Amino acid sequence: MSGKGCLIPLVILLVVTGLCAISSGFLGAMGGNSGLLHGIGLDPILPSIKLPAEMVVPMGQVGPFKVGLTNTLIATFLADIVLVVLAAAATARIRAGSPDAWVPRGVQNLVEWIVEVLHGLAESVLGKTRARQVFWLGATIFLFVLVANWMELLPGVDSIGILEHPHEPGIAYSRRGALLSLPEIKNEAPKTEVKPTGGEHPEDAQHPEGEEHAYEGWELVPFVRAAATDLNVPLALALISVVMTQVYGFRALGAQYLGRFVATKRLGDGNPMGLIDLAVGALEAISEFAKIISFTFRLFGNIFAGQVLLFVMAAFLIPFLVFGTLVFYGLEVFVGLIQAVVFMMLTFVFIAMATAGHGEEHAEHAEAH
Amino acid sequence: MDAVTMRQLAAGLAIGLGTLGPGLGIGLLVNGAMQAIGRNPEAAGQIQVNMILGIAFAEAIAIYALVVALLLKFVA
Repeated sequence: MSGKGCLIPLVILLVVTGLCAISSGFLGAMGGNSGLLHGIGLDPILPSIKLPAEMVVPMGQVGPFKVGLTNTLIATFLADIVLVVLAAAATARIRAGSPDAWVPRGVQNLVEWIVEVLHGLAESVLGKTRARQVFWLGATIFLFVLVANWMELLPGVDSIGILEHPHEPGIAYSRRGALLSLPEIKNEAPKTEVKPTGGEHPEDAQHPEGEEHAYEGWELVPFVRAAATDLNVPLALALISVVMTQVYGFRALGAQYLGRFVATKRLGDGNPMGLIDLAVGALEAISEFAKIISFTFRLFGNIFAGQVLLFVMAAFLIPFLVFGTLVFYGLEVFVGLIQAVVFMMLTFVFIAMATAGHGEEHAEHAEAH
Repeated sequence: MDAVTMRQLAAGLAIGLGTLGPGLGIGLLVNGAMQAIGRNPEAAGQIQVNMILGIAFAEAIAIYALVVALLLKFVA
C-alpha cells in the first residue's frame, strides 16, 4: 500500500471525527445556559423525541390519495440511492466488459468481500444449495438495514430541518436565527393565537382541519431521520422476511409444510394424541406472528433507543464530558451492524427451520407410542 | 400521585425491571460462549454466531419491556 492510499482514509477519518466533535461534543461543552457559546446561539438542546415519523411535506391531495412525505421515508430513499450507486460502482468494470474485471479493485473489491462474508454466513446456516436460493433475501435485508442504521450517525441527520411551532404540549425552545437555542419553553395549554409570523413555514397555514393548535416556541422537524425509527420500516422488513419464509417452506415441503400448522395426521389415524398435535400446530402458527413482532420491535427498539441515547447524551452529558458522545457513536456503529447481522441471520435460521422436513421426527414419535 | 406522574413512573419501572432478566440471560450466554471459546479457540467463529443469535432472542424479551415503556410514555 502506498503512502497516499493510507493518507486519504486517515484524512477522512480525521474530518469525520472533527465534524462529530463539533456537532455534538466540543460546542456543547462550551454551551449551557451560561456557557461561552450561548452568546452566539449554539446550545446543547434536547431534540423533540417523537414516536411517529414527522411530516416534512405535509399531507396533500394527489388525485384520490392523501400523500405526504415523512422524514423516515426520505431516509429510506437515501439508503436505496446509496445502495444502488454502490452496486453500480462495484459492477461498472464487469458491465463494461473489461478483460481484467475478474481481478477486483477498489469498490468492487470491497463489495465482493462483503458479499463473500455474507454468503459464507448463509452457507453455514442453510447449506450450499439452499444458500444459493435465499441468499439474495438476507443479503438485501442486511445491506439495507446496515446503510439505513449507519445513516443515523451522519452529522446533519436529525439536526437539520424545518423549524415549526410544536403541535403538542411539551418542551419547545427559543429561536435564534436559524438555530434553536435556550431558554426552553414549557407548554401546557395551547396558545389561542394561531397565525404564525413570517413566510418561512407555510405548512402551518396549510394544516387541513385547522383545529391544530400552535404552541409557544419552536421545535425542529428534521429532513432526515433514521429509517428504522419509524415502526413501518422494520414492520415491512419483518413481513417480507416472514412471508418469504412461508413461501420457501411451502416450496420445499409442499402440503407437508401446511401440516405443521394444522397437524391432523395422527388424529386422522384415530390416535387421541393427535389432539396434542393440533395444539402444537396452533402454537406454531402463533409463533409465526410472534416472529413478526419480535423482528419489528428488535430493530425498531434498538435504533430508536440508540437515537434517544445520542440525543440525551449530546444534550445533557456533553457539557461535562467533551468527547463523551463519540463513545456512544462507536456503540451505535456497533449496534447498527449487529442489528443488520441479526436480522439477516434470523431470516436464514427461520428459513432453514421451515425448509427442514419434520418427517423423521414424526416417525420417531409414532414408534414411541 | 396523579395519572401523569404514575405513567412516567410506570414507564421507568417497566423498562428498568424488564431488562433485569434479559441482562442476566445475556450475561450467562456470553459467559458460556467465552468459556467455550477458551476451551476450543478454533470453534470461535461458529460459537460467536450462535452467541449473537442467542443474545438476539434474549434481547427480544427486553424489547417487549421497551415496547411497553414506549406505549406508556407516548401512546397510553
